[in-house]
Amino acid sequence: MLRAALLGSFLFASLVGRPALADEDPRFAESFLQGLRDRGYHDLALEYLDRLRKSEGVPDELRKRLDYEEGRIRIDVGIRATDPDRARESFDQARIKLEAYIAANPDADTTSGAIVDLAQLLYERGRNSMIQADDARTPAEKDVRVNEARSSFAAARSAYERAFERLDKAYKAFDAFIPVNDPRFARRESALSALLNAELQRAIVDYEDARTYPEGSAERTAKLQTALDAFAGIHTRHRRQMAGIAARMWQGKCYEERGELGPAKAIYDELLQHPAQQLLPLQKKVDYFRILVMAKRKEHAAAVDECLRWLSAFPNDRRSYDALGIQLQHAKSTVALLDELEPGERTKLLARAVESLEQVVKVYSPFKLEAVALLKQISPKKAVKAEDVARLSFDDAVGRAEQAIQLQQYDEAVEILRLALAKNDAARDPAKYHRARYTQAFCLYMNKDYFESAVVAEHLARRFPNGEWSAKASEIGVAAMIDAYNSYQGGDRQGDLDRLVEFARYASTTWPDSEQGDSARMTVGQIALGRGRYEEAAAAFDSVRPSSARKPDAQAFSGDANWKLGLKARDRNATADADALTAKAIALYRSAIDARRKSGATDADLPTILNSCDLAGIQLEVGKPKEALALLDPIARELGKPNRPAALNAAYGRVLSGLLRAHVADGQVDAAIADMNKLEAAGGEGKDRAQLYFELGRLLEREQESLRKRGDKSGLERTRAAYRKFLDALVASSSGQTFESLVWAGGNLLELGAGAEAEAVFRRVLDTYAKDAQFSSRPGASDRLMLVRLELVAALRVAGKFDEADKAIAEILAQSPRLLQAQMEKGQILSAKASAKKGSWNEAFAYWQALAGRLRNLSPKPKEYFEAWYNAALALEGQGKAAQAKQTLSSVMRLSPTVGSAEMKSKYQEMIARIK
Amino acid sequence: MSRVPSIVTIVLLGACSSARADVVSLTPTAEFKAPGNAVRGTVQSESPSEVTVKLGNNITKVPTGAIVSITYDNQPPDLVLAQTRENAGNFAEAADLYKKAAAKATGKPFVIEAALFGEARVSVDLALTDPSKTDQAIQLLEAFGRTYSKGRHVVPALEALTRLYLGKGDYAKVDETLTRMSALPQSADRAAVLRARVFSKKGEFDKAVVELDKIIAASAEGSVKRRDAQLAKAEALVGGKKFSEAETLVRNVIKAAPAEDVASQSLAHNMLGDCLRAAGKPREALYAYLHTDLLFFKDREQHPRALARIAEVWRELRQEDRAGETLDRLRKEYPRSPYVAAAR
Repeated sequence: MLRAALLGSFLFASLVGRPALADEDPRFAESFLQGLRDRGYHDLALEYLDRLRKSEGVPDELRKRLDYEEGRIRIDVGIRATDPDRARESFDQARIKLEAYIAANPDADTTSGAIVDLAQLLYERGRNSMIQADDARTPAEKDVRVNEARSSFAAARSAYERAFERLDKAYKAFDAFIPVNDPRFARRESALSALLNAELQRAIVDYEDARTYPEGSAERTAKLQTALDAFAGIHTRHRRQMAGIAARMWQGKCYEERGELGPAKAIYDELLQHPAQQLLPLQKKVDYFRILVMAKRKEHAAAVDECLRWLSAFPNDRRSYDALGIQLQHAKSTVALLDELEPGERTKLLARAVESLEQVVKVYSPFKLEAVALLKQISPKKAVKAEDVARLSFDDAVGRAEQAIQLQQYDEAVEILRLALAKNDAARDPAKYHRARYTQAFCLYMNKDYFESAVVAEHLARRFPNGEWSAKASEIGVAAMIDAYNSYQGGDRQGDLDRLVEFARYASTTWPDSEQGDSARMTVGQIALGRGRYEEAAAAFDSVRPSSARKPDAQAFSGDANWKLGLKARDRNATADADALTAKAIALYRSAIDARRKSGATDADLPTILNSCDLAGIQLEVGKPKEALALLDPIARELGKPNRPAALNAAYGRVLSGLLRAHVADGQVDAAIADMNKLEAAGGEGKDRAQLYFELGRLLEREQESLRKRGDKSGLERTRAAYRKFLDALVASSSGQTFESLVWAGGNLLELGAGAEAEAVFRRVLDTYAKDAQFSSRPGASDRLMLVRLELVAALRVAGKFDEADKAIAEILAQSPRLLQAQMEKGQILSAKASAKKGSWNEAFAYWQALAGRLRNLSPKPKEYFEAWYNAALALEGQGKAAQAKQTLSSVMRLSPTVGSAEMKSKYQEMIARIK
Repeated sequence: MSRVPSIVTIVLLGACSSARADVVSLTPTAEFKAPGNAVRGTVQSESPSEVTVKLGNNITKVPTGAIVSITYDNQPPDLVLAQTRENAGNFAEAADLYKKAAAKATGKPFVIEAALFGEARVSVDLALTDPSKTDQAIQLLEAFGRTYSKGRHVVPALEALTRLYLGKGDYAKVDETLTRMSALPQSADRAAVLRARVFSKKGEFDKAVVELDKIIAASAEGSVKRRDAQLAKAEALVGGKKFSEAETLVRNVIKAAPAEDVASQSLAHNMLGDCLRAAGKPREALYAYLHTDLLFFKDREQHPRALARIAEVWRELRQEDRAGETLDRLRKEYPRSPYVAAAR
């Protein structure tokens, strides 16, 4: 992700500092803004909008539309972005602005247009997600992206439907007959055009949605049919309108996608024969589609000729979507033809194909990946020769390095830049030098030469703080230092971390108003968080600018830091401080989640899920299970759907765990049991499930511990009752039980003092698994069964069935006389009998004392040694020898101050205090 | 049935009469108005202040300030070609064609005068890109001014001459030229503004401001004279490092001028850009110049100036790519502009 972000950052043009406020002449505002957009100066257009917001004298009508204008500009930015992460960020920002405008101006004349723009951005966002899906490194990541695309297309469809309703109403408000020379005539034509365009776009969304499903799948076929029907309908009703003719083209495209190449080509040919001049832009695209059909029919020679004709007909177009597609197709068809060509002709055509591909790889598009692969295939990498680079001008050498970057041949780019930079120096042309150095740092990073990358980037950032590329170099420097720290374990790690923090601080203060500055602040905060310096971490996260795209991340991290600060405050009994910090943590998490929601995050958005889980965890800790449930319920419902991407499985498990805790805390036992079943279903196989049970046990223990610490007796009772009911239900479940699940349930019933129920469970385990040949063949099966037998003895003891317990432990000890757990259990039986007045404390004390004596010489001393002395002290107390009991424990603590573990120490201390 | 031929005849006659007339094209923003923004007829006389056009029995006197161009009946094709070359920035070729057009326009004094002024005018453009040609341009303009001292081109000729002398730093000649200019009808105001600008050129900014204030006080609200004087004053204020005052003044000029007055708006926005740039606000200046580029690009004089300045500011802001793109546009749209040469 970081590498992808840096790649994006490398490709993304920088913005420069913002000017002070100045008076803007409102007469020129709209046309000037439009001019800036048309020129592609989106950064200036956004800045100009800010100036208009602050400027007096801007007409109210325009002032109301500033959010809308910003949304439109950000859509442009997204469409023209050179990498999909940036595009997505822009689309999300645009969405916030457009939705705000639409909500604030539901009845404005421009609102229908704003809804259409919103629909368009959602459509573009969906297409962007599909580009990211193609670029995904794992199938799971691809699933996530494809799902995102489908969500965006669904939202786009819904927005187009909203727009369609409004536009239809507006169109129908015109009289049926209006004379041509009446000004209303043009307005009605314009309304009709907008209406048809919305209908057409809605069908195009269906078409793109269909393409998110695998070829040949039922969903793809059905959705393509829906789109085809919609296009056919528009064309039939409006065959003389531009939208109707465009629908005809898309109709052809649907046939093409379905593999019906004959009908597709017939439609394309029909459209190309149309003489109207205004159809030329459409025909350009139709021509492209027709060539694709030729290639699909394996008419490669004709396809190559047609591609070249297309390219010569539009010599100034090499970067549009269609032009990139044509150039890729040209290369593909050329490669398909190679075997049929004479050697001379082959070389010539191949060179032309390489030219085409070199254009395609320069631009981020759905065609790039395929073009890169093909270019690597037909133009293999050559070793960089110093004499070749020496012959090139500095600019040409940098150009060659950038070409290598497009092909992801970073080592080659590094070498070319090294040779090129040796020919140049900062004094001669600083701007070019800085750019080349920045590119070098980037390539070194991508080549995983992290230390070298950090050195080059830091040099540029510190030596030339005012240089155009220095802020971006700092981003690479920080990333390189982080990756170096994570990749290499040797050396002065503390020093490396300090150096990283110091450099990040430098970047955040040198470029405070930039994304790079924010990125550096995040780094400082995350390292402080990892080091347990929560105040420092919170300060760093809080200093991320509100306008930063990373603000929600910063807020969530700051929430974590504040929560941990609150826990520390609670430990030192500073309750007021703790409450304030907890409230702040909750508010920060809420802000982060709200910001993500506003930018269009759904219940399947991973950062939103994780933030929600964190916040729900805090709410459970502060005794607000209902709030936790409100947060997690909708997410669990969304993730519980059958098409959940594999990448969200772990998150789903976390959500269900949170939900289970919340249901337990809220006394909703049946719901908790349902959560348990879902968790089991989602929890994977065998060892995963055992781990899950263990985690669940820990979870519920923590829940009870938390209630105990808070002194919430009724809550504790409720939770224990719920827990008990939950365990009973688990045991009663006849299907899906495993050895681990039954043992876990029995163990927990035992802890709750339900000896009889635990006994039943352990007997069931022994009956089932002692006879199970498959289980017996597993490594360690007999040991595991022995432990269950011991658990059964404990259950008999807790149930007061001392005779049976004595008999069973005697059998075990006869079989395994040195088994320490069995020796311990024998002592427990003696103590329990004494406690129930069915035995003597003297006998119990003697046993524990002897056992402790046997364990004394072991090194290190096992926890059972300390446990034995503890039980011996209890026996003394039972004999009425409280002072001796206290003395015994104190003596053990003097010799072994830690008494094996913090938990044991705590037990010792509690007993000593109690005896006082 | 009988009416149809007569209508056709009238239309044809009308077309013939239109084709054979001189056409005086007017500036859209001039106070003097005519149908279709042009006056058709036969040019009877031309003077520094007006051109007299006769159509039938109607005599129309068109103020020279309102005239964009005159297309003379039966003018030599070389004159049209020369204008085309000039518009394309091909000044050397335009100069030759103007000379040829003058030679071929025997018996057409107004055409000869227009052609010779064209030759002199492009010689000034050539001198701006190549200072070694300044003296040659001065010679041509001086000769033109002497020969056509009562023609309609004399004022712009003297103004061009003033610019060249200013460029050379020959203030005595500037003074002499402005004295000649101020003696011509309706040119005293322009001469006064130019005279005040000479003070600025000499570094006497306070003196320039005093003179310009007098002109501003004496000129009507919204007049070209007032606008020119205000912008010249802003220039003087910038010279005297009174940036804030200069900026306020130019912004007032912008506010006072109609939005559709391209000439005023482009000039004022470029001046605003200059003020802001001099005040160390390149980003603000960029916005001002971009107004000219994006909204007032029809002004063929101010647009290349804006492009050149935009390229410079982008470079100052370390946006080399955009600086390069802007320079490419300047070279493509105004290949022979002096700003292209200056930008190299």
